[in-house]
Amino acid sequence: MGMLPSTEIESELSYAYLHTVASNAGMTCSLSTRQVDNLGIDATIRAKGLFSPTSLLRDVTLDIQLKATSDAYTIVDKRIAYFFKGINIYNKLRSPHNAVPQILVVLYLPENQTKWVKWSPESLVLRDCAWWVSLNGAPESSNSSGQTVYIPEKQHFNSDSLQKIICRLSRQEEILYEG
Amino acid sequence: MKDRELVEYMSTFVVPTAIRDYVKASKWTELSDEVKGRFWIYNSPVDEYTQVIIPKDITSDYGRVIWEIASRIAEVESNTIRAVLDVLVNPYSDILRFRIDSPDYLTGTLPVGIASNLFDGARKALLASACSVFNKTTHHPRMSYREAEDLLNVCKMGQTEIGSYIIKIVCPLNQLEESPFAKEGFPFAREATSLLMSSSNLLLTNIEEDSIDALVDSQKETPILSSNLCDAILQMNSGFDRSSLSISALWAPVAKCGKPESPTLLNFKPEYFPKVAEVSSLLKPQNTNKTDTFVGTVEKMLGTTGSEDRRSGDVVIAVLTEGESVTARANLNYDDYHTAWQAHDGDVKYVTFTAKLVRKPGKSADVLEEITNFKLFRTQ
Repeated sequence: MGMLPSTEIESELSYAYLHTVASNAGMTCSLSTRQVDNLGIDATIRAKGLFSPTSLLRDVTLDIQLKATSDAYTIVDKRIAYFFKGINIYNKLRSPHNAVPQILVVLYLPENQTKWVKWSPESLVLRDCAWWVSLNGAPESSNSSGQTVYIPEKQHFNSDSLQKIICRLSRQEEILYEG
Repeated sequence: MKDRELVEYMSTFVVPTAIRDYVKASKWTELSDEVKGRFWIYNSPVDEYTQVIIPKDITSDYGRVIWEIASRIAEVESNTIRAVLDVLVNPYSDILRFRIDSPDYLTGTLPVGIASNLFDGARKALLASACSVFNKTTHHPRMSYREAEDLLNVCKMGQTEIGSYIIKIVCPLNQLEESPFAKEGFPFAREATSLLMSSSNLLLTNIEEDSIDALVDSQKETPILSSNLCDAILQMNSGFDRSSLSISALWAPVAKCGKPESPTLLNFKPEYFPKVAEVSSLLKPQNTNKTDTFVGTVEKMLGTTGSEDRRSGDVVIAVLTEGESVTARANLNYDDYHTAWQAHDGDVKYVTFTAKLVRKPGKSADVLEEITNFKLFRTQ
């Protein structure tokens, strides 16, 4: 039986996490093509509905750059420091000139691979948790390989937070980097 | 490049105003509330929750945004994204498709000679229709109207499409000056494309109703179908034994003239082509080699000096006949050649003569025979 390398498994689990969260929030989630991937987009969330009384948009698209890691995370000043590899994609995500809003979602998995997924007759558990951050307006980097970005600790990526993001976008709010 | 990537690449050629015009023409309603940023937002005509957000400027993710918009329009129209982008890339153009359905060529490739006939036949079908806009006749001897050729020059051959063998001609409605012959408010290109569809439909309907004689009789009074169009249809099908030919039109969605009533899809079955040939033959003048008096201009002097140190021989004359300019070659004696030379180089530009005009289909020039009474023709 062919086995995926652990980095591929991390990546696949991050897609599964995103699909689960989006589906549970009543939204569709589609994977990107290679060309869109070059723009820093791994998946696209689409939500339709009347999100709030002041919503202008009823049909919201949100592009996602997905990352997954089994490195332990460190919290500095209530923010998770994450080293984002690939300065070109970083620059695309921080550009204020994108018409479709984009966020970065980082899934942190346990260091021990055997703990990533647990199945029982009662539940299927994927550990640990994903966080999200918008890089719109993030500072220019002087690095050539990547940039450390700071994700607010409170910004867990789950169905509730996704609905709140979509609600803000439906009011045409700009979600800026708060790192 | 994968199909979706190709489609996303195509989307970079769509301009924002083209999308706005398209969705407006398709009855999407603009959200005029306080839209933030440089966007137009339109609500779908069929679903209160489907919207498109059109950037007014080229954004850094422009191709991706246009793809998203096209996918929503496709969703509303139950169409493919590729087809929507075809229209968005050419919103001010009619698109004609000529499709050969042949079990012999399901792989999507054709012998070069057959493909060449298909392309040339499609070109001639449009040219014949453009000529018929100017001159409603059952036969165009040369199809040499300048305006018709101008139309062909601004039209573009689209990429062939998968699905048996489909070629596509994109006919822009806004690149030619308004022709004095076209109906008011109707671009000449639209006149030609709609006439192509309506006259082809007339042909098809009469073949199916077995009323070819009635069709030919009706064309004596008010001709809209030409033998040239019939020949073009036959040429497109030549080389195929068991194929059908579909002609379809996609009318420019944002044209101010609206959409014509002409049909948008016609299908000539394999057994129809002998009937098309029969109609073509009946529409052609039965006696084309008649003697007549002509007026023309001398275009080329090709004679040689003879024994009396005078020139004689071939000249090329542009002859006006049946409302069209026809190029014909004439062999002239010394005196007539001198007269031709006077017209060619002098102040009096025209000549008149009596001759038999012999048609030479497929040749660059017809032939004038039995020339008499060759003289200069002075206009008032």
